[in-house]
Amino acid sequence: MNPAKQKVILLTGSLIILQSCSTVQDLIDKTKQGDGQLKEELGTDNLKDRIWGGGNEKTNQNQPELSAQKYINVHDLGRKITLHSNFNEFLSHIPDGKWKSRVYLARIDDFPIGNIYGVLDKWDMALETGFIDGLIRKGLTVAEKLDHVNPRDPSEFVGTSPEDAFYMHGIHLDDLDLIKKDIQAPSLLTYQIMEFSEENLTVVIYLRMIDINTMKILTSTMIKVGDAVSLPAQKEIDAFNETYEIVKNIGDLPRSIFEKKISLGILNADILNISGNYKNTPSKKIMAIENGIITGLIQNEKYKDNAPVIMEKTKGFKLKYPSVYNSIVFNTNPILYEEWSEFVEETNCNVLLMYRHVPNNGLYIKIIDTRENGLIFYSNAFVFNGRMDQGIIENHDIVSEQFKANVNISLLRNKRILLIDGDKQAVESEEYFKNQPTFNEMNLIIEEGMMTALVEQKVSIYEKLKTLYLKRPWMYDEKVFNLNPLYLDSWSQLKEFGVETLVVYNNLIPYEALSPSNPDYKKVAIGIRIIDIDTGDILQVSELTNLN
Amino acid sequence: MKKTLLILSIGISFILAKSFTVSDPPMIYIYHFVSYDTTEVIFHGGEGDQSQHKRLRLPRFNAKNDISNSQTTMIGKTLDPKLVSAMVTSAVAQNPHVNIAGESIQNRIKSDNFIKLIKSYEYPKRTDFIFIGEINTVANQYEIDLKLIDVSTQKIVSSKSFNLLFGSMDQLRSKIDGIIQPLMNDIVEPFVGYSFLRVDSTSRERIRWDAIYIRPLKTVVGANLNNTSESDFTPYNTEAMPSSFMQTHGKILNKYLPADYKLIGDYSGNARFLTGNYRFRGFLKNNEKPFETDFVVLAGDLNEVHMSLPYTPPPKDTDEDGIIDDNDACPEVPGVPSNNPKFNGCPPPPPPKLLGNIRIANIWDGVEFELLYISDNEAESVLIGNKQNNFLEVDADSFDYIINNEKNSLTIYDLPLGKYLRKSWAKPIEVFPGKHYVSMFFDDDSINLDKDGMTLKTTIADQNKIQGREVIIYFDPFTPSENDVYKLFLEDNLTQFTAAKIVGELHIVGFPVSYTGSIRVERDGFKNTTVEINAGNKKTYHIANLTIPDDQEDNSGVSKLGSLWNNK
Repeated sequence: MNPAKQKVILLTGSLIILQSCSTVQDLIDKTKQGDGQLKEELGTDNLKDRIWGGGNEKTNQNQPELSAQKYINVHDLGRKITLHSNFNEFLSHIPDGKWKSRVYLARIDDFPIGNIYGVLDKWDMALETGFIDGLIRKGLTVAEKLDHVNPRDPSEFVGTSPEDAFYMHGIHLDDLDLIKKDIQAPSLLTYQIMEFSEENLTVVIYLRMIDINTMKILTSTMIKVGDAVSLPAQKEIDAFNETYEIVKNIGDLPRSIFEKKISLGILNADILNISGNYKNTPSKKIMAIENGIITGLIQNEKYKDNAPVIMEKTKGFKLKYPSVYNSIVFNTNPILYEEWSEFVEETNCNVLLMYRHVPNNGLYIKIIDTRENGLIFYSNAFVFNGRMDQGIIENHDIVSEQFKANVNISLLRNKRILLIDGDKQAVESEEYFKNQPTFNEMNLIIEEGMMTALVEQKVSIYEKLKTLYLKRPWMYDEKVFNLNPLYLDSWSQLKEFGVETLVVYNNLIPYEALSPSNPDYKKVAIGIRIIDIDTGDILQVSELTNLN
Repeated sequence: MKKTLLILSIGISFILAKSFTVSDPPMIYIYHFVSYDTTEVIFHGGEGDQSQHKRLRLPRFNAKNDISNSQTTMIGKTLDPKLVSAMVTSAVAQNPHVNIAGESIQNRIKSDNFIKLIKSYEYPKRTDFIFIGEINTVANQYEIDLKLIDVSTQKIVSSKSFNLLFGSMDQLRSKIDGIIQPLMNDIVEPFVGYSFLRVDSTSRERIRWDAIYIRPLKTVVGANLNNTSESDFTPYNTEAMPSSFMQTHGKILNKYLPADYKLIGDYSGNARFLTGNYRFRGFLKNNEKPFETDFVVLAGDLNEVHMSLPYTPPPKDTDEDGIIDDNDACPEVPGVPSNNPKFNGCPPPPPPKLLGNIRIANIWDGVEFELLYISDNEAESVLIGNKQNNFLEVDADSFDYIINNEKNSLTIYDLPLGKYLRKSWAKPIEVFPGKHYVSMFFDDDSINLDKDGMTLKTTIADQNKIQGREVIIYFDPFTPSENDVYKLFLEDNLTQFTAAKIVGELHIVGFPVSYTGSIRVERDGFKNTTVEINAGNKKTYHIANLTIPDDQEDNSGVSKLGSLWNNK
């Protein structure tokens, strides 16, 4: 039997015993009779070993004083989760018709990044029991876990080829049907323990409720209970809060993304658009960032509780092969597929929100209408609340403003725009291919600043999805100077690609070689050419700069 | 007197010791006379005058053969002495070494002594023997005596007689032959020998063993000894030396190769020669001048006729093809005979090449094709071509071809007969720079060109019959130079289904949905990589890692679970 499955079964068995205590008092009575009776009922001398097969034991595990009272305290800690104001907020976003739905509770912890449970013990059970107690008291109907619900096999979404994007649903997909049909629980309430100390009686938990029918996230929140001065999970909490605060308060989010028909996928873009790889290794913190975004979206003023839109990512969010980025145009979307329609078919995601969390700077968000062939209809960058930007967000804004100020937008309006980084490719092609993989968030934000400007000016700009190759170094040999860097036989090929106007920019500052402390890092110096694909004419040449 | 003469004759013959040669063969005179026991019929000429009587002598009446009644009497026929004489002559003549001096027939009316009688007769000169046949009728049978008398000694050499019933004339010849032929042999046997023809290396390959002629150098005509002439040559044959001679003349014969000698005999099987001098003529092969030589036959010996032709060095044949240089049009190259002097001795001209034509039809836009000549499990490319944008490009160094006006058909001319394979596949199309598209299309056809002058047609299948999904393979790296080629093969197939240059990705369209297997990608100088394809309807995306040099250990196959997640 799959060890993970065995674990869930045993956990289920344990919970059955615990839940066979009809009241908390009953449980207390049993614990008063000594740990031995509990062990007897659980059928083992070492509960933890039976469930998890050993591992690091928490301190004071077998100390005499950790018996009934402590159990009650932990139980209460669990129950207190439901008493937190965030939990009320959490509940408030449950669609009207879902309130009376049975809920299947599943602790998932790091399942979304392919990790199985860590060390769990009876305090974890006590915590969950208390939490369930609180849920019930809040009027939720919690399904008793009887049947075999397994964590998802990580190999389904970690280390795949082509690889899957970060943060995939962690419960076995086939078992979702089982939860829905056999257990009659159309809602799945997952929680991740970000921090839990039975000693300090603190818990930081992330909750997410999912409608199994639609696999949409109904509500989401992070709750911290306890008064510890510092928490090991503080950085995750901060990361959650940073993004949560930003997203919750974005006032210009398009209302269209909160329409009922929308399936909003959330994708951590990181620097995938540069190298095809994540710069920030998927971790609890990165999960917290995405959780914060989701929670922020749900709590955004434009969000409609009765029209859940955010997708629980399950499959199909496939990424391009990293090596492809060695020869294609900079900042091409990391989604594997050639056509957005394929992406929609594979994921059912019709709006894709891509975000980039740039530590010490802020958050960049881009929203793409996948039904409209990758139309970018939102682009913006935000500084973390109350924190200083190291230049990335500022430069985004500078580029955006400069673009609006210096580029004749009328040349672009009603045109399908392709924005490409020409850089010094035409003269230092070999160097470009060498440097391009080292490009960083600043390189990205430069282009994204232009996107933001274009979106704000209601210019239709499309996300680059299909691979578009750059000229190889040898292709410049014995040719005239300053060729367009795209590997094209004719401009008409770009039209077939769905492009009418080409915006080629040359970033003159080598951000990839500068540290954020370098004064030049916060500078902008960009040359722009606007090219009419129909004629091949250069319509405008302009500069975007904050150099004096 | 008679007695004296006989003694003299014997004495002379003794002194002159009779010896027969081919120039002086035994001469026999055949003399017959007839004596009858007769019935004398007297026809009276007048009464009392006996002088008038006529007497008729008839063989004695035979009660059995004669028919008599009171009125008439039929008389038995007398034996005609000519008949006996002719049979004797014939029997004598059967011995080729005996000559017949003449013959005569007389009735022996008087009962004279036959010695006396023959003495009174004048015989041709050189007569050696007289054959006397005496025929008498005794009672109901003939009484025939045959005597051979040596003229020189006048001795009866032999005397034989036999009876023959009147009704047994059919036995007459055999009886005569039975007496005479041994008798003749007895006469010549002491004077005959055998001859054999021996050749040497000069004539071994040139002699015609069955075309030889021999004549004595001299011959007796009447009483004269004359030289023989060309017309006297008599055909002879040769036969393998009988084993009896090998036993009696081994010392002579064993010195030579058995194939180099044969016994000479005439066409009646007689291998005896009278002693004497002969001339041999042997005809040679290839119309060479006949070889002649004289030889001597000694009685009782196995006499050799040695054929030794003058040695002539063989004509020069440099290339040793059997055709001398003088006649060899290609003296230094082994060849074969030819009636045409220009080609005589030259290598045979290669058989006229049997040629045929192959027409490749239905060449549609986007197809590549190759025609291969198949021999001994090897395939040799004859022609390769492709059609793109209605331009048909063909590369066929050695063969002529014609493209039809519609540019959808191609005929290759004068192909050697044999087996051919036409392969076709879809040409990758660079729909967008760096992005190549190829339709998954295979089609091949075996063509057996087996008749001279024939034209066979092979039709490329329609591409539109191919249906399937799209498989995209990204190449790592993008082909680094314009000369780099990435070749793609299905499984372990040795023939690529496509090859692409200046490419970042290949889109294989029409890929079979049921196919589960691999695509092998090759790059010169680098390790091959394999792309695994699983059956399914959906478009799939793959990467072909072509970055590992041939001489570097390949670790790319090591699973890197979570590589994306851990790779900063």
